[in-house]
Amino acid sequence: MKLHPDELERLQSRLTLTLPETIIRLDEIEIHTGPTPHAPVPALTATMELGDAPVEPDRLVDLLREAFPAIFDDVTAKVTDLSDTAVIIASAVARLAAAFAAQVLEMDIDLRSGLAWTENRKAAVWIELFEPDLGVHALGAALMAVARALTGDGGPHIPSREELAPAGVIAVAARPNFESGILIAAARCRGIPARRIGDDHAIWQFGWGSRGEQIWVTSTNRDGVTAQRLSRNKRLGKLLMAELGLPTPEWRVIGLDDDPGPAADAVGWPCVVKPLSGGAGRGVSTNLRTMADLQHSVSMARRYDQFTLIEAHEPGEDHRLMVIDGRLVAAVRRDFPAVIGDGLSTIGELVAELNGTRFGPEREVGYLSPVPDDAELVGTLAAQGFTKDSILAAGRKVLLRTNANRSTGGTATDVLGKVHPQVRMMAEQLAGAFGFRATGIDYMTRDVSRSHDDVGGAILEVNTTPGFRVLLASGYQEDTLGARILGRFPGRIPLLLVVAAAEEIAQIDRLAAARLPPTAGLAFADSAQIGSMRLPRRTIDASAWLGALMLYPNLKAVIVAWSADDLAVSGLPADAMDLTVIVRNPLSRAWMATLRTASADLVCVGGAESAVERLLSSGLLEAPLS
Amino acid sequence: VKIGQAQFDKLAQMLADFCPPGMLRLVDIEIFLGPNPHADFAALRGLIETSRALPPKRRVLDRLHQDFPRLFPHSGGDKSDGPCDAATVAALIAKLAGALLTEKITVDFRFDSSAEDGSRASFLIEFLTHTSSLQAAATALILIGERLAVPEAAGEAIGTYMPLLDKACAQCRPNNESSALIAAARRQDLPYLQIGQDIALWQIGWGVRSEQYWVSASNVDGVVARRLSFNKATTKQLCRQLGLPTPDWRLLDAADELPRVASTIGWPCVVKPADRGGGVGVSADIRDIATLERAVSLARGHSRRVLIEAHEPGDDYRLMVVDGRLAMAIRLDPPHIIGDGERTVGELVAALNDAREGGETYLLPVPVDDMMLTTLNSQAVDLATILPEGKAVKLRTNSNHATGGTITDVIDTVHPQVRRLAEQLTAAMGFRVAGIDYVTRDIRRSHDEVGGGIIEVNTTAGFEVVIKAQIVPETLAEVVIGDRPGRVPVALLIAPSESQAEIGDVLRDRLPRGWAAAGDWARMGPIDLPASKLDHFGRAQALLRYPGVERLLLLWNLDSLYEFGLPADSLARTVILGEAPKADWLGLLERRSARLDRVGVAAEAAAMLLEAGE
Repeated sequence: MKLHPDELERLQSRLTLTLPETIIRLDEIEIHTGPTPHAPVPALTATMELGDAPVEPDRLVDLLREAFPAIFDDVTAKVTDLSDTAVIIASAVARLAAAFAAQVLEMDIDLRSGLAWTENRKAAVWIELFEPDLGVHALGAALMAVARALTGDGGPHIPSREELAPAGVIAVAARPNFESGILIAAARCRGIPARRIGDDHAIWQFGWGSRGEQIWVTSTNRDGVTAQRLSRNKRLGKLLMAELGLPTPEWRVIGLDDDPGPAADAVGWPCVVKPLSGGAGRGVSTNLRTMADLQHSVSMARRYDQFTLIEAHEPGEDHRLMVIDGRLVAAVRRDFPAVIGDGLSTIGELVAELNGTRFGPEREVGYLSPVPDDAELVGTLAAQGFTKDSILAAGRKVLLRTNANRSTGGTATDVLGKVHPQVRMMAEQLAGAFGFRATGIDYMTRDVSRSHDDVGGAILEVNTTPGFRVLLASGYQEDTLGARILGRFPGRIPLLLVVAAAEEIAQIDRLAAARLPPTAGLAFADSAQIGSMRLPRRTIDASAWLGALMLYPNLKAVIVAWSADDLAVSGLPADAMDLTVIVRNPLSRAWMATLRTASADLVCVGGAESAVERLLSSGLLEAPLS
Repeated sequence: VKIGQAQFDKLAQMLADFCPPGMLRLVDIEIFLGPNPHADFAALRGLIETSRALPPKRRVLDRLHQDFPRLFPHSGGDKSDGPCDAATVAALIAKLAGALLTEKITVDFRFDSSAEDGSRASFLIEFLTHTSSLQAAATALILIGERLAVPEAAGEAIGTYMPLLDKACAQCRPNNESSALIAAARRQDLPYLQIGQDIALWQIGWGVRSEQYWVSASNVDGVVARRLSFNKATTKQLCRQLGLPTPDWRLLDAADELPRVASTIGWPCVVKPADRGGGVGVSADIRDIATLERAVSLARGHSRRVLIEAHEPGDDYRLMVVDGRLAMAIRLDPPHIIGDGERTVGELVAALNDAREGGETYLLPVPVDDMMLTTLNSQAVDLATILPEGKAVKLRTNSNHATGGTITDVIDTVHPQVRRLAEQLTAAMGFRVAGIDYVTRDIRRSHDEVGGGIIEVNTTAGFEVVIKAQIVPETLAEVVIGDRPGRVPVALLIAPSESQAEIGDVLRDRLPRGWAAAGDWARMGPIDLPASKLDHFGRAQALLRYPGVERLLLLWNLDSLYEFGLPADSLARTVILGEAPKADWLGLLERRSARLDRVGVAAEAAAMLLEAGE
């Protein structure tokens, strides 16, 4: 469908500030939620009029390469006619827009783009649709960036995050949250449809209908609300662990007016202080050995919760155990940040060297954080008898921190293969008893390859999410983790399309609606039905009705009845249909070709009655009502 | 389980403070965590001795009736003459303790008493937690003792001990919904366990047949569902995506100009915090900018996220869906008063609230606050206005029960389209149990005919109110529990200490996956659980909490049996190796076991426990 004229006008007027209309004029933007003859994916298509470029085609290609080396190292290979400046400019705009959009999303995905058509000085380009707003703004940014490259105005460069605003502003709302982004990328690889639920950046539905699953961060509806309650309140969690007969360190809870001393004496020194609720290590202090440290730590913890948990310090190393569907599927040991001497460098130099590899976007630096150069570093070194200026003997290892948190430079090591069966069973059973499908359990032990009976150990916490970053820091791949969380449940349900003229669609409605099995949906351009229930009428567009049906978990198949005009406005209902039935072919050759590519089975019939018969007897639906 | 000597001595001393030991003496107290020869349930049992002439029953009963008219509805009258004896005193203690627990924990507690040898008798109350049971026993003992010693005393023990009992009971009193669920579980003879000492977290059923409940939500209700329902704007957006009707809305930014927003939404409108429940900060039927501004600042006092919504004309309904089916439908009406031509609005409100506070009514008082004053104001009255006879005035614009609304059952009249709509929405969100707020002019007609809109979806269905109000049957809680929860087979082997190691080795070696077993150790399938501080009984309970457990095998000795009582209230199988239990315990085991065998060889005993079938 066409972008709203007001929005188009806003974009156009912003462009005219930087973009001489003699070079590029944006005429129209169309949004298709499914493939069209000119784009194989849901896409935003921009039609533009191109003026004379200020430079020759050869020079133009070089200019773009210089300006956007990361993006244009291979673009020319895809452009057929290098002598046509219009083609080059349009292709560049498409490529840039897609790259900008992907950059703003901060996800490990490529958005596709291409040239839809050119005609004289007009060209249409498309970029794969993620969120319409994001596409529109990325397109605007791309147009401006190309204009700059061409005119040398302000020097050719890739716009910064700030310059991509308002694309950036929009994307803060549009960008999936970190874990969701990883799941979406994994779903894309597997052909599983993903879509945002509500206006929440962390809730997405993967798959359709009865194969659909809503995932909030990494939690699905198979994670129970009781699980969330039990994990959010550390006191409840620890009480349940005790009731289950599982090991957790001795603990006490104190209120705002309570003296922490007696509680620490009761659990034993050294001890650990945590706010009763909250996560991500906020307000947590470990290995406290003096009353002064204890008092200070408690006052820090009280910033997050009026109740403070005082826990015995469990010796050993911190492990994160990820359990999904009752099975331990990932395990990492969290390591303190450390450097190893070479006999020449000072500790300060070694730390700088270590940190040098850790500045930058987290995906590029392996999800490792620099070790803060702060008082705690100095203190930790001093405790080992060093300063930052000490030259460390070759092979000598020095700890830089007394906590293994990834955010302060801790690293992680994959230990899945080493986990002792008893520890594995504890983790798996605990996840079940809490009611989690997917969780990350913090387990302290001196040696995870030995049983609890052998070396002791204790469960510290059961978290609502497995904690992707620490797993990624140990070398797990994003796609592996995403696929683990997705599991095998999300997928597609049969999608059937019938294309017919308006009067035949009315006939199909009369014939099919009455016989629709309760587990089938029927979507028209202006209404939808689930089994025998017609959804209340509202004015939403054709693709929204289909989208609505795909959210109902009792639907095992959906039929879409659209006209040729509906297809032109929305694109195909999806990238793949199990069956397409065309009544008295009203379609162009180009659309027929698109449909053929996207349909597992395509038939043409002579009327509404035979179309309904073909749909209901396809075997893709449960038995229709007679 | 015996209670500690120090604790016992303290209890005896407290009793002695109010009643001379020569009159009433506590001889012993023991606690059974499972069925025992005295009761088929977990129980606290006290043994008392009375040795001197006691006052007449009638006087004691009269006095109890005076102190606790609800617990002892009848005075002594003429028939119960003669002095109290040990059996009577024990019966009174049991009844008082049981009644106090029932009142304070809102679960029906069973109690019993019996005459023992000579001047001794025993009382028995159903056991829930150590603190509450002991405190109840102590309170009842002391109160009865005080009445025996000085029937006419002012009763200072009540003032001292009642607050202590209240405190002890508050820690284990199920919250409102939980107590409706537990009552239903008890009616259906389903076992239940408290989780993490939380008053709203309970497990019903065992092992693979268990379900955890938090208020009325269970672990089958998804966290995504809860998240979607938490923010009303998100719920409404989802309704839109589902093609379901919900009134137009906007989330207000600080920068929004109210007049402009209101004109796009239309008048009248509703303002509410997006993420608060219980009708907090909600103003409805707003018709002008001044009221709107007040409503927005009221809502902002409760949340950053404030929603303005088009007013959907009609009545408020709560549609509760369980397991995909509409299980309850009620209409909620705002609280109102009707004039009598004499009293002022303020007096009528006070009268209404007096009636609601005093009696057994489930209706809550209507708070006299800014919102009420605003509501009155919009009807051109204030607290001082004398209402003409028959004139009705709304006290609130919302019909939320928490702020005094009234309730009517409408389940039989809900139009099928509306019913389906509620059922589909619940499924699409991922709820097993949800309460949907729906507004329509007429619940008997379809949405296409009369319109209507989904306002929000609640995780706490609030069914306890309608059960208490007897508007819907108490079986509603049973519908919520459904047929998933139940028992898993528990088999008990009682063996002498010298055979335990041998049998333990066999059980551990051959334990199938999904089965759990415990002796001095605990094991699930092929792997031992870490050693824990739990005792025999605690270990059995712990294993019944694991949702993977299909069957539980227990290796006990006679001492643990006598100490704890039975490990579970029903046993699929009991095997006794060697020495037979005392006669009354053997009888109990026979009653409570589907099958009981006595064997002489350890290997045979272990093999019997491992047999799959019953």
